[in-house]
Parts: sequence; structure tokens; C-alpha cells
Amino acid sequence: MILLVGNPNVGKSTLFNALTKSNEHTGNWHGVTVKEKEKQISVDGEKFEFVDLPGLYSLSPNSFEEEVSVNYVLTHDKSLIVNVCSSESLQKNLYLTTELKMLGLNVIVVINKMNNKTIINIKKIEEKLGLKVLLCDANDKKNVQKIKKQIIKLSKINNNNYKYEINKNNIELYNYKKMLQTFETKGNSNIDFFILKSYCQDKFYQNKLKMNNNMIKINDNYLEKEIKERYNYINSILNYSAYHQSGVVGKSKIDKILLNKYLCLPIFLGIMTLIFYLTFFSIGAFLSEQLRYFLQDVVGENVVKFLSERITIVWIVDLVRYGIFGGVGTIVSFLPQVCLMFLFLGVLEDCGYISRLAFCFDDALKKVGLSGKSIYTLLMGFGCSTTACLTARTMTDKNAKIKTAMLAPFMSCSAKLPVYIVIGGAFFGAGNIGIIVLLYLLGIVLSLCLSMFFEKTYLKSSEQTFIIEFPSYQKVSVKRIINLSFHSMLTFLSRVGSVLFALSIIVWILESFSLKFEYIPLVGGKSMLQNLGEIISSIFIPLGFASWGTASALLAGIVAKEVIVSSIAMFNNVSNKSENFLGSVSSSFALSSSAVFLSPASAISFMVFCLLYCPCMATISILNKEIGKKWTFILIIIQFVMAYLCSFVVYNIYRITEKIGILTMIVAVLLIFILVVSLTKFLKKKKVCSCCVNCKKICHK
Amino acid sequence: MKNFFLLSNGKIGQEYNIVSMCKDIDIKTKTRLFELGFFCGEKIHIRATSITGGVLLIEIKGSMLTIRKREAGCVVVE
Repeated sequence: MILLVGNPNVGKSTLFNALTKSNEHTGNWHGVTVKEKEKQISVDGEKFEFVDLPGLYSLSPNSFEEEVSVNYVLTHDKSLIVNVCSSESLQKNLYLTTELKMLGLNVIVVINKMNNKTIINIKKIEEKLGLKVLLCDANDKKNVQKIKKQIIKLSKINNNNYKYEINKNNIELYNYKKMLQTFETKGNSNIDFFILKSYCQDKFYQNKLKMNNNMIKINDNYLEKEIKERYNYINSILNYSAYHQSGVVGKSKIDKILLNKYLCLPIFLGIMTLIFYLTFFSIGAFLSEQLRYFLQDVVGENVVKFLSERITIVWIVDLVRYGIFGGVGTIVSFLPQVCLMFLFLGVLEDCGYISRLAFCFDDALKKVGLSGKSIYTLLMGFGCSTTACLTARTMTDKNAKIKTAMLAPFMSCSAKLPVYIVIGGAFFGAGNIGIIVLLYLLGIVLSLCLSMFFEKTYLKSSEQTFIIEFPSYQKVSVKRIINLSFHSMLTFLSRVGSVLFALSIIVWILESFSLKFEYIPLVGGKSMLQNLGEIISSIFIPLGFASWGTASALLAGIVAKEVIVSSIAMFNNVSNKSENFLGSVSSSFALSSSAVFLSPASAISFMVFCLLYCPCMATISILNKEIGKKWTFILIIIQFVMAYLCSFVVYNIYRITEKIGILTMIVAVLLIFILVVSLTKFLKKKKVCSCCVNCKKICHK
Repeated sequence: MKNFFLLSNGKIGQEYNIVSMCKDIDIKTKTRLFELGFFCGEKIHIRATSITGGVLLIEIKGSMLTIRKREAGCVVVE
């Protein structure tokens, strides 16, 4: 096993992808990798397992993702540790190197991100450090292949002759070790290192030794002394090797504008509006229409025609026409918009802007018990909730981790996009962009309100650190972005090809056959799904969409949200000829005899319900692992209740607005707001003590 | 007489020297700050603050770091 270990954002995942020909997620941001990634490769008939670990500053973990890495380093049987460092911040990176060396492990150093601002003498570093050092550019294929051969060769012999031992010269630590002999120390090959860390008051190691600070007196100043000595050693290595790095990592003139107190929020909103516009309209809509035309009018029509001429069994031809091309085809037609969303998120990640966003939003997020790092969860949630849940591992506090993971299902992920585009587009045309933006904002606001509620009640967070390094801005790698979009396209298509394909067929069968398995278009009657939908649909009467079609679509959407739109298209027999797909959908909704019958008010209510009602199965599975069964179950209940209440409110406000007019509604809302604020102030005033009115202080009697 | 104060009271654009770390700080934060180079004698430059001033952007040891006012309030500078 070969581990890739190093500080955050030094290029470990990029190197891992290059060494193993993988396509793992990378980004110019502290906290991209939150889970270990393993891949086995074969070199000259021999098998090697490479493991990419989340970033570490030292072997003292400060968050859940760092604990993953530290446990891997301390416990797994490995033949080599590749300590990836960045040439831009070698001084900080080598701190971890010194600790890895102290463990006596087979360690080599790979210095990545070499540029013309860095001067370094590799042989002198090797000589002083006592470890093999390689130079690398993870983006250069030829260079990586050379490095790979050297890594494989070095994994077979231990290059590290040093192992940390406490000796009598270090009186403080030696006495501490003697006192610890009554605790669990046997069988631990790194015991002296654990004792050192324990004496530096590291609870992680004290727990491993099953002791705590109260048991033995510790010198509070030892920690600073130990780390300072380590840095003096590192400085001597770098001075000897004539290391020179000009410039400050992460410093940029652009930040004067992007981090300006008054400009940062408008700039961010402007960027997100542009992304939405390009994804849902202009480029995204154009590409989606072209793909829909190709799939349904060109491929679909010809396949159905071919089958009709050769197969006499009607339901098989209808399965292909409506179940596969109508159902799955509808989902696939949104592929350009999904890819565009991932592409734009990838650009934000790659350029280094995410760290700046975290910095700007930390104040606001701290008030709800989160930190600026949660902004990454929010943004990733726009792509996929499942991936977003995992980013909660960057939190340093358990309650903050639970609250952050809970944010993800509230986000409008790519699976919900088809619902907004089709349902919203059918009723609101160009005005749909405003509706979509409001839906995104609604998800964010509700998730933050929930977080605030939990912060005040059951999940109060302890004070968390928010120490992140700003990466330098870098040119967006076109190759990486295209790779990322391609990878997201493949992931989407593989999901379509497996879960969604099977689900669409199951939904079509349930919708086309009666309880006696008779084909409905031929014999008439109610389908299995209609029977089930009619039982469930009554609970949606207050929300305005109590038809069996919507109930059934929502039921199928629990497995995967993408199926909601394809089910609706299937139930309403939306025309395969997609000259005006949205027009066909819109007309089908207006027919009261349709399986899915909607009005503008119920359409908005339905979209709000889809946004909130339940995480998909994949997200539930990840949440279960990250936050446990109890909180996953609580979240599902909360989401359903919130979905129901919000849909009810939105449906009724829209209906009232339709009757009284929008201006009257705005005035009414303002009046209610003024009334509530005045009432609150009045009630607070009432608390003033009547026995000492003049002092105007709040009475505590 | 030297003027000692907490980094959280520092001004944007100013450079300071670290004098020491306060005692009442949790050990994980203290360790992380030391690991990132917050030693006595190290130079530290405040470059920006967040919207409501709760987070500082500082330059230390050749890189830019974010640090909350709570953490900055544990660093004594002159």
C-alpha cells in the first residue's frame, strides 16, 4: 500500500489521478478530499494499491477528515508514504514530513507545483533531511510516469534510517515516559512518538494511551518549545538547500475587490445569476432542446417505427415509445444543463474563489453554528446532495458536522433541475428564472433556519476554528474542467442507464397495467399506479396538486428525483414530437382529465414540495453513515413537514395574490410585518418594572 | 514602554510582531496556530477583514490565512 499524504491543496489528488489514471475530484480549495480514495494498479505484473488521503498539517488531527488520514498513517500496513509538498510553501509542508520521519516509516518527499518563482537544491535537501526527495509536476504526464517508476522502486526498501526515541537527555519527557509505564504502552511500535504527542496535550494520543491531562502534571510551554525546535530544524534544511520562494501564496490584487465588504456579496450574487442564466436559459436550454429533438424525434421515432413494423405486441412498442424514450429520454435531455452546472462549479473551485467565499460568509454562518467552510456544502449541493453531505467532514465539531450534512438535501441539486425547468417553464415562460432563483434561495434560507434552530436547542456547537489557507488564484485548467464535465456526464448517464432506466420501466409498467395485469390502453380501467396514487393523493388536497399522477411521481421521486419529470411526461402522454416540448407539457397540465393536473398556483406549490420533501436514496444512505440513523430519520421527518407547510403557504399566497392583485398583496405583507414588529416591541416594553418606571430598566422580578 | 495588545484589536494594513499566546485557549487551536508558525518574534500582517469583521485575513510565514477574532484574541502582539 502506498499512501499519498500532505498538507491541503498541494496536489495529492491531482498526482493520485495521474499515477493511477483515475478521475477523482480535485480543486484549488482546502477541503476537496474528505474521504480516502483507493486504487489498485498493476506494474510489471505486480499489484500496488495507491491511497489518496485528506490533507493534514501534522499528525495532530483537528477535524474528522484529518482523523481519517492520521488513523491511516498510524494503523494501516503500508510499504511507502509519499509525502506530497508544494514548492510554494515548503517550510509549512515539511513540518508534517518531520513527524512522518519520526515514526520510522518509509517516507519519500515529492515536491509538486514547481514554478520559476522557486529555487531549490534537491540534493542538499535530501542530505539534510535524510529522505529521498523527488521533483514533480502532477500535470505533466511524462514527468509523472518517471515519478511512478521511482515510487514503485522506493516502495521496496525503507529509505528512512531514523526513528524517534526518548532518551535521558530530554529529562522532562523521559520522566513522563517512566510515569506512563503503568498505562497501555506495550505492543505499540510508535510509543515514544505517542508519548511526545501526549505530553504536548494532544487528546487524540492521550485517548490512545488511555490517559488524560489530569493524571500527570504537564509543562504547558513544552508544546511551543517542541514545535519551534522543529521549525528551526526545517529552516536550517531550507537555508542549506538555498530554498527561495518569491511572493506570498494566496496574495492577490483581485482580492481588494472580491473581499471588499460592500462588493463581495453583490459580486457573488452576480456570478450565481450569470451561472443560472447560462445553465437554465441561453446555452443550457438551447443544447437541451437539440438533444431532446435528437433523442425523441430522430432516434426515438425511427426505433419505434422499426419495432412497430416487426413486433405486433402493442405494449412492447408502447414501452419503448413512452417508457424508454418518453421517460428516460426526457431525463437524458437535461444532460447539457447538468453538465453546465458542474462545469461552472468546477470553474469556481479551480480558480481559488471558494476560499474567498468561505472567508466572506463565515460571519453569517457562524451565527447558525456553522463555519465559512459550510459554503462549500451549499455550492456542492447545487450539483449533487450525496457529494455535498461528505464535505461536512471538514467541520471540527461533531454537532457542526451534523448540521452541515443536513444542509445538503435542502439544496436544489441537479436532479431537481428538470422539475423546475419543465413545470416552471410550462407556466411561467421567461419569468421562470425568477422562480428558480427563489427556489434556490428558499432551500438555502430554510436550511440555515433549521441549523439556527438546532444551534439553539439540541446541537449546540462548541467554538470552532476557522483557519484556512488562501490558495493562489490559478488559471482555470480547461482540460480539468472538461474532464470534470465529462466525468459528471458519465456519472449521470450511468445513473440513467441503471437506476433511472429500471425505475422508468417499473413506473411505466405500474402505470400501464391494471391489478389484473391487463394492458390499460386496450381494455381501459385503472392502472396499479393510479389505484395507489388515488389513495395517497388525498393528502395533497390542501397543497393544490391532489391528482394520482403527482402523488405517484413524488413516490417514485423518493428513489431518484430525476424520475419525477419523466413520470409526469409519461402519465400525461406528452407528445414525443418535441417541436414545443414545454407547450405540450403545459397543455397537458391544463386538462382536468390528465393524470397530472396543475394550475400556476399548484405548479409553484409542487415545485416547492419537490425541493424539500425527501432526500433521494443515495443521499439517505450517505447521511446514515455520516450522521447516524437517528439524525437521518429526524431530517426526513423535518423535511416532509417543512415541504408540506411551505407548499401550503405558497399555494395559498399565490391564490390570494391572483384574486387581490400583487400590489395589494405586497401592501398586506408590509402591514403584517409592521404589525408583528410593533407587537414584539410592545411586548418587550411591557417587561419594564412598574415599581421603578423612571429607571426604564427591564424588571427581573 | 512597548505597547502589547491582542491581534483581534489590530488594524488592517498594519504589521505586528507576535509576543506570545494567551493561556486561556483550547489546546487544539493552540497547537494548530503553532503548527502554522504563530511563534514569538514572527511577523504578522493584517490584510483584510470579513463583512462584519469577525474574520481576519492575515499574512504570516509567506502565506495568507484566515483566522477568527476569537483565535486572534489569543495572540499577543506589539
